[in-house]
Amino acid sequence: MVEVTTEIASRLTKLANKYGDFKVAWGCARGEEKKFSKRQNVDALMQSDKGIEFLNKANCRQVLPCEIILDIDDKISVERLNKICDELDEYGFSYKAYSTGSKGYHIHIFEEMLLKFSEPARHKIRHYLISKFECDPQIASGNVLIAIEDMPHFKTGVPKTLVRESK
Amino acid sequence: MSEALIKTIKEMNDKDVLDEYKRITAVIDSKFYDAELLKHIHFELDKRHKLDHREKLGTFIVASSSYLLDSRDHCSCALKGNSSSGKDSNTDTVLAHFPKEDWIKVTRVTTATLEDDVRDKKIVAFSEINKNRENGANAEIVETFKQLAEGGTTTLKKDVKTGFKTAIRTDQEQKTLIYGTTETESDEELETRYVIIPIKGYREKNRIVVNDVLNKASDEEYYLRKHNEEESWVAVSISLLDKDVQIIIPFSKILSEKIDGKEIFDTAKDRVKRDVKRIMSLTRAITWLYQKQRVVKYAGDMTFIYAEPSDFLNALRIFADFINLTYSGVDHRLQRLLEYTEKNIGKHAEEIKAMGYQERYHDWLLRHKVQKALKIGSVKTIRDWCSKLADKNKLEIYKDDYVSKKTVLIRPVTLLGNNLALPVNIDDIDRLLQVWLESDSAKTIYQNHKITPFIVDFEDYSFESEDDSGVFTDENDMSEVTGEELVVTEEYVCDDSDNKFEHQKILKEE
Repeated sequence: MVEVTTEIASRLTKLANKYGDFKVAWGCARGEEKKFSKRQNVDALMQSDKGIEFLNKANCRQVLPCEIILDIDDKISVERLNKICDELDEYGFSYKAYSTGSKGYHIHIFEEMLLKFSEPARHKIRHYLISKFECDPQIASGNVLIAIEDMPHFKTGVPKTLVRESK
Repeated sequence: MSEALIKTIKEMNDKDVLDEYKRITAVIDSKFYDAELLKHIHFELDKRHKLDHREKLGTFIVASSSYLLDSRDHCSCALKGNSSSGKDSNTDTVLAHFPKEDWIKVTRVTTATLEDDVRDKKIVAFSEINKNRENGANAEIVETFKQLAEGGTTTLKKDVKTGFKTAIRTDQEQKTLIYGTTETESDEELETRYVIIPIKGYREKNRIVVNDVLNKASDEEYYLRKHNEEESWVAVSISLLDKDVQIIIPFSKILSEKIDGKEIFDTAKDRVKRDVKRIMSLTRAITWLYQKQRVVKYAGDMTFIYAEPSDFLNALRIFADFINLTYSGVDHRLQRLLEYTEKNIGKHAEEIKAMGYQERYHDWLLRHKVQKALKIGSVKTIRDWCSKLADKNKLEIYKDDYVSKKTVLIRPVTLLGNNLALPVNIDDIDRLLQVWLESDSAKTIYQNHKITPFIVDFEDYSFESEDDSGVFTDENDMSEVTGEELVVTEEYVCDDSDNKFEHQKILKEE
C-alpha cells in the first residue's frame, strides 16, 4: 500500500496555490491488487480531513500549466537521458530528471512564463519539445496524469527519484 | 521570459504561438508618450487609406470611445457616401489598428445574432445598412441597431437547452457601431445616435487609388512587406492601455459660458443635448488615448485621468464639421447641391427670361444645368435630391407646363439663423480655455504636470474638393461613374434598380 505522508499533501497544495488548481489520483496495480481512484481537484480536497487523507495517498497528478514533461519510455538508457539533459542545459531550461520507479525517465521542465500562454499555445510548445527529443507525445496534453515526484510508482512501488537537474 | 523558451518559440516558427508571444511580451509604444500621438496615428492610417484625413481620424476616435469605462460614452458613426467612395476602406483601415479580438466586421447579420453573439466585441462594423431601400442591406436590424447604439439591449428568450422551459436574459451594454450607407435619406432617430462622417468620391482620390494599385502590382517589396506585416503598434498599445479608468474633463463647466454673447453649444436647438454628450465622449476618448501623458489621480478604488484643453479642442477640430452636418440633417451630397444653388443664384436668369417665365422666377436656376454642373449622372438622382431638400424646406421647386413641359426651376430657401451645432469659432474657445488654464482651479488639478498641447492641423494636408466650379468644361461633361460623355437631358430617367428607362425620350441639351 502507498505510504501516507503529510509532506506530499503540503507539496501538492503549495503547487495548487502557486499555479492554480489541478487534479490528482491514486492507483495501485501491483500483483493481484488493482485499484484506481477517481481524479479529484486539489482545491476541493484541501477543504476536508478526508481530502487531505486522499492527497497523502495521491501518487499521480495532472501536468501543471507551467510544465513540460519529456517522458522517455522508448530506447531507455542513461546515455539517452544525459544527451537530452545536455541539450536542455544548452537551451538554458530549468528542469529536474527523475527515474520513474518503473522503466523510464521523466524530465520535468518548469517555465512559469508558460502560464501566460493559452492552452492551445502551451500544447504546441510542449508538443514541439517532446517531438524534438522523440519522447512520448501523449504527455503534451495538459490532461494527462503522471507519477508524482518522490512517490512510489503505482506498479512497482519504487519511488520516483531525482537523477539529474539543470545546471 | 526565459531565454530557453524564447529560443524554442522562435525555432517553432508557429504563427499563433509567435503572435501570443508578441502579445505577452508587448509594451505600450513610445509614441503613446508623445504629445503628437494623434499625428502618429494619422500617419499609420494614411499608409492604407489615402486622403479623407479628418474622416479616418474621426472614425478612429469614435472606435476608441468603445474602450471608455462608462458605456454611455461609446459613440457610433455612420459613413455616408456613394458606392466606391471608400467607406469600407476607411472602416477596414481604422479597425486594423485595434486589437483583433475587440471588433467584428460583418456584411450581414441577423437581429438574434446581434442581440446574443457580439457581447464580447467592443466594436461592431457593418459594411452596409440601407434602411430606406426595399430589401436594403441589413434593413431589418435597424431597430436593434438603434438600441445597441443608445443604451444597449436587454432580451429575454426561451432557452433551447431546457426545452423552452426557462428563459435566458441577455444584457448588452451600449456599443460602438460603425456602418456604411449609400442612402441620402436621413432617419432622425438613427442619425442623432451617430456621428455622420461623409466619405466623398472624387477624381483626385480615384487617381491616387489607381496609382497605388498599379504601383503595388509591380512591386515585389510590397508583397514581402504585406506577408511579414506585424500587428499594428497602435493595436498592441491599445490592448495594453488601462481600461478601468474614468476620464474627468475639469474645464467642462467653463464651456457653458458665452463668447461674444453666443453660447458655445446653442441651447436653442433640441439636438444640442445629444451633441454636447457626444463631443464630451469623444473628448474622453482622446484623453483615454493620451492616458500616459495625463494627470492621474486615485480615489477609493477608482482611477481618474484628467483631460487637457487640447483633447477637447482636437475633438472639436475633428468632429465639429461632422456634427454640424448631423445637425443640419442633410447628407453631404444634398448639402453640396444646396450650396451650389446658393452660390449660383441668378446665374441662369437670361435663359429663364428667354424661355418666357415671369420676372419673379428669373433668379431661379435651371435644374438640368445644375445637374450638369455637379456632374450628377441621371435626372432621377437630381430629382430625388431636390425633392428631399424641398421636404426639409431647404429648396423650392417650380414647374410650369404652360411655359415648358420639360424644364424644372429650383431655388434655395433662405432662412434666418444658422444650423450650426457649434456657432462659436474654435479659436475663441481655445482662448477661453487658455484663460482657464491660468486659473487657480487648473493649477490645483495639474499642479506640476507639464502640459504640452498638440492640436491636429489638417491644413497640412491638401484637401479634397468636389468640383463645383459650375464651369461647363469638357472635363465636367463626363459622368462621375463611367467617365463616359454625360448626356444631359430633361426627361432622361434611368431607374437604377432594374436599369430600365422610364422615358425613352432622350433630348440632348446641346
